Amino acid sequence: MDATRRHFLKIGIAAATGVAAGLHLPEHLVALGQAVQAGWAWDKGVCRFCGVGCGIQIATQGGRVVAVKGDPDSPVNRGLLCVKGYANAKILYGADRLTRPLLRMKNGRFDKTGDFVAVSWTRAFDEMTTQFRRVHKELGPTGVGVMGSGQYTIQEGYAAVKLVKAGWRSNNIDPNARHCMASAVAGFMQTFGIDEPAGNYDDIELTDTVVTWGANMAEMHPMLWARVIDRRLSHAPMRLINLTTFTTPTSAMADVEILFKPQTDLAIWNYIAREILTREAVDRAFVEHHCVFAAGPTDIGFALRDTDPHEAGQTTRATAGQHWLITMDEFRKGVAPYTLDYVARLARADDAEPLPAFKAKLVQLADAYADRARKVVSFWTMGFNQHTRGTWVNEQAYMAHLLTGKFAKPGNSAFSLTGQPSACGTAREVGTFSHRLPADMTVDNAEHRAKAEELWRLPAGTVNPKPGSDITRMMRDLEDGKVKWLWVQVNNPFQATANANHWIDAARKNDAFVIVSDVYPGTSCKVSDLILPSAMIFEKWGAYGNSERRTQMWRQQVTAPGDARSDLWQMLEFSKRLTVGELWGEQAVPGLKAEGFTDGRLPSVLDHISALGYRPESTLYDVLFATPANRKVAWPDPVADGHANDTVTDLNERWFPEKALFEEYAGFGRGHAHDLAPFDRYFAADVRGLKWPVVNGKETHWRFNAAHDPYAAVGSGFDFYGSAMKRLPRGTLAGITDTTPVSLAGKAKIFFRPYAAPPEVPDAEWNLWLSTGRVLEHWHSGTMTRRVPELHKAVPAALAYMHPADAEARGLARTDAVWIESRRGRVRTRVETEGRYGPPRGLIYVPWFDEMVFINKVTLDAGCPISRQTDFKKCAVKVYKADEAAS
Amino acid sequence: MSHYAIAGLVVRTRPEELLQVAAGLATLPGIEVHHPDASSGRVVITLESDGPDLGGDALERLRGERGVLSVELVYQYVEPPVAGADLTPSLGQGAR
Repeated sequence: MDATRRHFLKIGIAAATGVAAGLHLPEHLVALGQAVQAGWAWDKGVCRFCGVGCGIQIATQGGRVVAVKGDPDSPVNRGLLCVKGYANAKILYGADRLTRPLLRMKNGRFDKTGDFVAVSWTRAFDEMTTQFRRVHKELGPTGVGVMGSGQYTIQEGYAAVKLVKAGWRSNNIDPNARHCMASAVAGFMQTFGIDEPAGNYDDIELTDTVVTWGANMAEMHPMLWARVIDRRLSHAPMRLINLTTFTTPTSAMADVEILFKPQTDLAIWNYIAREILTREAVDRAFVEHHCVFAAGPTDIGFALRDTDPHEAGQTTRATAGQHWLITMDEFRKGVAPYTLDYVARLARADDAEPLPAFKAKLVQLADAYADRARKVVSFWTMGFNQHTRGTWVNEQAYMAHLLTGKFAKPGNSAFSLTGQPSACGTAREVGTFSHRLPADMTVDNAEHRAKAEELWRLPAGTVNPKPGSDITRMMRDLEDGKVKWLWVQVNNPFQATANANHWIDAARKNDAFVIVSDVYPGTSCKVSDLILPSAMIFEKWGAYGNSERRTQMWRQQVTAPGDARSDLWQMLEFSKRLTVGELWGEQAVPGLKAEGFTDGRLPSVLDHISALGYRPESTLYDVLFATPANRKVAWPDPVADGHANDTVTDLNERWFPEKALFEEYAGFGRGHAHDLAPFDRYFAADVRGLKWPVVNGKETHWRFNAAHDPYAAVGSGFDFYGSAMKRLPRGTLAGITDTTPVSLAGKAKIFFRPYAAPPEVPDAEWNLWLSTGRVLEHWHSGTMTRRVPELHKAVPAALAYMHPADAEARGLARTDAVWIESRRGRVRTRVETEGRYGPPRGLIYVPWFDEMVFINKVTLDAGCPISRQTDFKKCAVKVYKADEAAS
Repeated sequence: MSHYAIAGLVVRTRPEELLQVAAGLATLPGIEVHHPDASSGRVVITLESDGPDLGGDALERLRGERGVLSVELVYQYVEPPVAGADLTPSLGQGAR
């Protein structure tokens, strides 16, 4: 390339960067920035990676994505992107992209022990169908399942829920978001009776304090962290407090870093609550008008198998989510033992830190919440949600914010940051969980089932009232031979699930048929029987919902390589091969017990299909997807603005599935505080996503606050209008004393939750805590980001971050090869005693993105019994020197 | 037939340290400093490479530089290694 052009590009890109970042540049430079981009077609999109939901602009030329930039008009990231953001262009073009269906075969036939052979889509669907019928005949609807994702587009997730819950009458669909924010969902539902946060990202610019709890925002939510830093540098009172179990890059900017022992966050919250009470910092009017106090059972177990020794003595496992009203005095009694002295001794992680210094930090933390004049935003991520008391610790955050009235107000917020791009938009809002239906409804609620059956035009009694298996349970079902047909979509659960040796064995050894739709050959592909090549984000139309309720959409920009097809196309095509006649007769469902149902049976609904215009030979495609109403949503559509839709082309249809299914789904939430705007509105030039509920064309910035939320009753000030779990018995900390239900309409719950030790703690042999997590450069299991050369080069492997004294005590030096071993398995990696993470003595940190350092063979599959989310942050391991030569 | 990649980045520093940090960044290979903005503590830099990537080492080094609070990527341009493909942007008037 000649020097002139190189110079031109550089100057132009610098100018375009400055403009995008909002710097004021002279006009000739702005023009130069535009000149560099001549000939490229730009369109708006959203980042493929985390839950922040940064707006991007994508440039295409000649059928290829050539450039990506931060969208200067995005209110989320304001023109900036983190290092993963630019990988949106490159992830499409990895050398080993999957482009053909691959089936394990021997001698031209499917064989579980065969090698992968490229086959046609027809051959792939034929085998899927044969295997589906085999398993469905043997085990009924609970023998088949789907492991879905918080990376599904909204339309994909909706199609999957409808296919599984309406078509197959199974509730065995659960997203990997179960591992990501199920505790946030359960905590929010139990506290407010409806899901999804009150506040939004703009609280950052309106607050005086950001407290991060188990959230390494600097790496995991970098664009929000950039906003936090801006606020810290521009607003004198602003303070940052970081609570963490090991030092991270987020600590670097924090004014106060509190290093606490794993699980003691539960005790720290109760210390804060005790301080709020003793300092009389309670916002009495807020609490009186808008809150009640609640408690629940305490020995609720650890979501392990019933036979696990850790579950012994856990007497209230069956009623883990039950709760009842208590008085404020009872609440005061509950937090009374959590004195500064007790909590400081329990929680201090670093023995080298003097106790008085640690106490002083806890006092500063309590000051931030208790000071009436100080606005506070609490952010948390996996440290809270991946926790054997994940639901409790979420509820405790709301507890402190509600007590002080620092909630649902500009600058006062308690907010769970999500890890996946549509964990909120798809997993939570669409309801791809095993117990859910769209718009916060649940399968075990007769009214909700009736509502879904009405909107879906199903005979009454079609939807199965028994919740399906969550993702970890589905793995156990696979091991137990209860699930034998499994379709993995948009995620990598065989790498992502704790105690992984079991599940890999189950997939390979049992007579199960495992299908994995993916874009690159990750761990799950390798253990599957059939691999289906999927289209990636900008090779299809889609929508994501970010952490602040913002729904964002994009058009297809380029065509997927080879035979790769969108996940939506895959589901729609497969649905053509199954008929209602074979699925809607009477079915056995072990353990089903519900009013109006015979125990263990789903009734036949075939007698009622003709009234709806269906016949036994009607396919699920015609009944669920290509309905007369959806066929009216025509393709081509002016909103495409010249962009293709390969889902439509490959279906050889003239309807627009992504639009039709979005509008159908939106029917669940409109008028029910989940209102989405019309599909076309999201593509308008002046829209960069909209925060639902969108009422009369206006988005909602702060929910439950009558000044901002049209669903909050006028004149109420605040209205916690969510209706789930809002009729409760009364009791004391010890239990229920009066079973007469009391209505809590409009109120939020302030929970007392005690400290509870985790099931597995270090001992003489297994003498270190293992915490797993992420790094800035890699996303999820690394299948995409490890194929981007600069990201791979920056962090090529997962290392074991360890305190130098812990290394020395084991005769280890930096970069030594080591085994990390638990009671469940071991992995080999290298020791790092420097670098960006600084664990205190007694804890090691190992990122999980690297399939070569398969840390989930070591982790424990214990989790929160209420949310069923796994605790990936705590188990006990030993570390010892490995043979150098083996590398 | 060669790769060429340029990234446009925004580096944040404490405003009072901006010029000093920018001067330090300018000495790193492949990096040019363009628009320091003293009021906000931000500076635009470009990072170029002839390889198929930008050099992860460079990004790592940037984040480790003294005074760098954060590094955000705004813009990424990549030329794919397609023989004969002409992706040269047309030069607008006055651009030379």
